[in-house]
Amino acid sequence: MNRHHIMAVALLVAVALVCTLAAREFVSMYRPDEIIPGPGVKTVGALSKYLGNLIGTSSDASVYYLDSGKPGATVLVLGGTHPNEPAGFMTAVVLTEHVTVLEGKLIVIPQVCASGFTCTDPLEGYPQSYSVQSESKVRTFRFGSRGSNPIAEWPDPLVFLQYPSGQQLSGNETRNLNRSYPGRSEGTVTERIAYAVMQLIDREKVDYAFDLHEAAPEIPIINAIVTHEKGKDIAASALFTLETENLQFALEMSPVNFHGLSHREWGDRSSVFPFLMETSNPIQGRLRGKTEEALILQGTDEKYKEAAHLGTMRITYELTGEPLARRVGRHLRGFQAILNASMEAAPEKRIVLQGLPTYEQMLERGVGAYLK
Amino acid sequence: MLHWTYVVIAAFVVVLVIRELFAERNWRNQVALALVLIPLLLRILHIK
Repeated sequence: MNRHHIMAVALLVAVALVCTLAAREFVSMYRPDEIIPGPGVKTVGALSKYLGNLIGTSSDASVYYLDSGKPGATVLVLGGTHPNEPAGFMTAVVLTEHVTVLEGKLIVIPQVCASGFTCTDPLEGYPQSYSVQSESKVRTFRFGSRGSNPIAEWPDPLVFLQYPSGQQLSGNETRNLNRSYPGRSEGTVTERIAYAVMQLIDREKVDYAFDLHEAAPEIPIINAIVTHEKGKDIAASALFTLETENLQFALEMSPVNFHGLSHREWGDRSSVFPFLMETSNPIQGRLRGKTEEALILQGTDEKYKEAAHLGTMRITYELTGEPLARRVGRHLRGFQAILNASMEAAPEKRIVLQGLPTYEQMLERGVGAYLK
Repeated sequence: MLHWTYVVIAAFVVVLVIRELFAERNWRNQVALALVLIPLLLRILHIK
């Protein structure tokens, strides 16, 4: 054997070793997060109940049914549409683990884009997980990617043709659940998730649906409630209440010609009143500095502080940071305000929740106090 | 279908790269070829 052959064999062994070590890290992302159903959860199901071909895939999300057994409104809450937006996910987890329903029915899917929790976005340097101290132990949750795992749909097309509108978007948006509604039963993995959610809305006769998000502080649609035309009165009423509590939310109308978004397609294609909420998440921002777990939890970033201090950008970054507790608190308070407004608009469709933390409680005690 | 076509193409490229790895006499070029193998293998094995 020549010397360069020995080198080739040695390098192949090294490649095998690197692949094995890397694989251990990547495969660990497939371990599901522990979500402990609280006293209000009557049944735990799966998204595949609404579309059978999701069974056995990494996209089959858990669905938690909190049913009072009494008539009233049926409300759907989606967290994890974008798994790199942890406040939406954590809000759904708090609802699942801490809240009971006294009237009506609440359906929660904390990780609706379950496949997206199995990887992080390339070139972002995101941490793979973050930990929160709960009542009893340290809870660790995965920090995922904006879209479904590329492995599930590789290759992305050069241009994503949204179904059924034919709207053209960049290729990687093919894995973005919030561009894929209403989806199709035999489409891409992401389209199938969207289709299953639409089926759930129809079959469970959902009255009000919430899609919980976050965005970079410099994005104009931030600290906002986005709704369809039919939800504007409810959202405006909720905003008025929130303003009196000194919680500023912008009211954004769903663009009529921008297809695939939850608030647009749910509203157009079902009887549901859709609401999407956004909070400000520095770890998604382009200005951010050190990208680590603390930035998810405390939301304190020197570069954003500097930009805010200079006043050169239209950003909503709080100088004290944007901690996870504040972002989850905003989502919970906005959620409650919209439900209250919807009950004023349709008193026969009641949903009464017990154990929902207030914004102040969330700020004071942190997210962990409301996890098991 | 397109997915599996891409997987087959990636596997074919791996074979070519390994062939080159054994034919190449400059160790620096061999290291470069070995580095190319890592993402291809992880993708073929559906790990990353």
